[in-house]
Amino acid sequence: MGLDNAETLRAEGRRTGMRDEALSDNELIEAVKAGDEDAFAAIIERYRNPITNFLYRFLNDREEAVDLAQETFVRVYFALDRYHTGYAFSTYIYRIASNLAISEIRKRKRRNVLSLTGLFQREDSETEEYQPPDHRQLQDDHLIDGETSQLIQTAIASLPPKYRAAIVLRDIEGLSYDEIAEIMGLGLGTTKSRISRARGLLKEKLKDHF
Amino acid sequence: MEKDNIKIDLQDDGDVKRMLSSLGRVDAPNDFTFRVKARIAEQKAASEHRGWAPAFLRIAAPAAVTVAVATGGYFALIDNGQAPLPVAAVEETMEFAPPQSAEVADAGPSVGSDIGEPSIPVSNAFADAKPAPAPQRAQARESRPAANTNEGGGSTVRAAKPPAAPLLPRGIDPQTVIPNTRPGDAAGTHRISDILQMIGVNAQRGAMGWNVSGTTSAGVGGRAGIRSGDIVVAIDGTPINNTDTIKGTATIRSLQLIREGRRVTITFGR
Repeated sequence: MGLDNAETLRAEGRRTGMRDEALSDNELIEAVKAGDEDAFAAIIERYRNPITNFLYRFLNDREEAVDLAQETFVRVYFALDRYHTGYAFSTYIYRIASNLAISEIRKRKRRNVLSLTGLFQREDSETEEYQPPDHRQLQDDHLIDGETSQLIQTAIASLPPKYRAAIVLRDIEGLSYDEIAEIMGLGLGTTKSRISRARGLLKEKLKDHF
Repeated sequence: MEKDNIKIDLQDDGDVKRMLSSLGRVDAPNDFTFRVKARIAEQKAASEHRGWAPAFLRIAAPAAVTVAVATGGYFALIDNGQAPLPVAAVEETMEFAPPQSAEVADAGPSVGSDIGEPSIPVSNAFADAKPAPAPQRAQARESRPAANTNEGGGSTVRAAKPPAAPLLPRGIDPQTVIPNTRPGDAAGTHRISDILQMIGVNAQRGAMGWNVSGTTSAGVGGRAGIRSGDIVVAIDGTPINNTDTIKGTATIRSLQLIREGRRVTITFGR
């Protein structure tokens, strides 16, 4: 759909009270490139919760997750000229978020702070990072009680980043294997292998608690 | 779904998947969009405020540093003798290799020394000639052979049109070119007094070395900073404190002196 059509749809949407859900990601991106700032607000509205949730499950730190989610959108905005709408925007934005999260984990390692995840770490574990538990009750965290949820969350955070990203994207965010492979820049077989390995590691870490 | 309704029983990967999908979701705060827009506006303002100058500096500063390092490294190599001297510096290098013959020296380009350095022919045949004026020195630069050539070389222009006056390095007094040298003596034995005299240094052999009694105003030695009272103890690292002659190509790159008790090295060619 061309830009004119997208703008027409948006104008129509405003007139009829429809929101930007009618437009695809790429149509919104084209509108942003054409100078429509409201279209970018629509993109933020569409992805802010999934990205924040993904980063929270990845980092186990809500404040850091929100901060990196905001940074993700800022980077997307300033890189729009380089974004080709031939690719799925959802994988594009998850990839940026994932890279930011991995960078953050590396920064934590460089800070060389004490690891508090020893409960879940074996001696040969690949991770050594500070994972302070976030005890605040989450607004939607009612499916599993807080203590169990925190136990699972800490177990996820103790996984090596390459496994953590894969299992969060698959089992929490519900992305397809193809999408995850594209986000992580891996082959499909490697992606499936990592997800399977991540589930195995997680089961191993939690077996004594359930 | 009520709390604790989920029974976690991790028997297989499917259980792990169900457990993870049962975790609650964390939503972005209500002011999320506002904060993202504020960040974008802040970065836009910052980039506009920076203007073109920082962008220019981001490119120019590394480039300048690279050039400076490369230049410094080049001259460091010259110090170590691992890089050829620039043409302008070669002018200042004293070469004492005599020509194969007066005719050869007069008719064409000079013959390179056995260490591959360009050389300027100096011969008794030039004894009556005056130092070459600046344009002719420029011509000399054109006609110098490439490094590592043992014979021939030089420019065809020079070969076709021999210079009217002999070409001598600046500061070389044609009246004091090495006497008693013979053709083919480039790598032979030279008298130290002759070598020093050629660069305008008057010196007599003493107990520690060659005591400088004075320098000529136009000589290379005087312009390089050699002065009365200095004691020349080595040429290019070869001690001369107990000898009157020196063997080799008679190409002076440096002199080692003792000045007021301190050892000083004067390097030519820069």
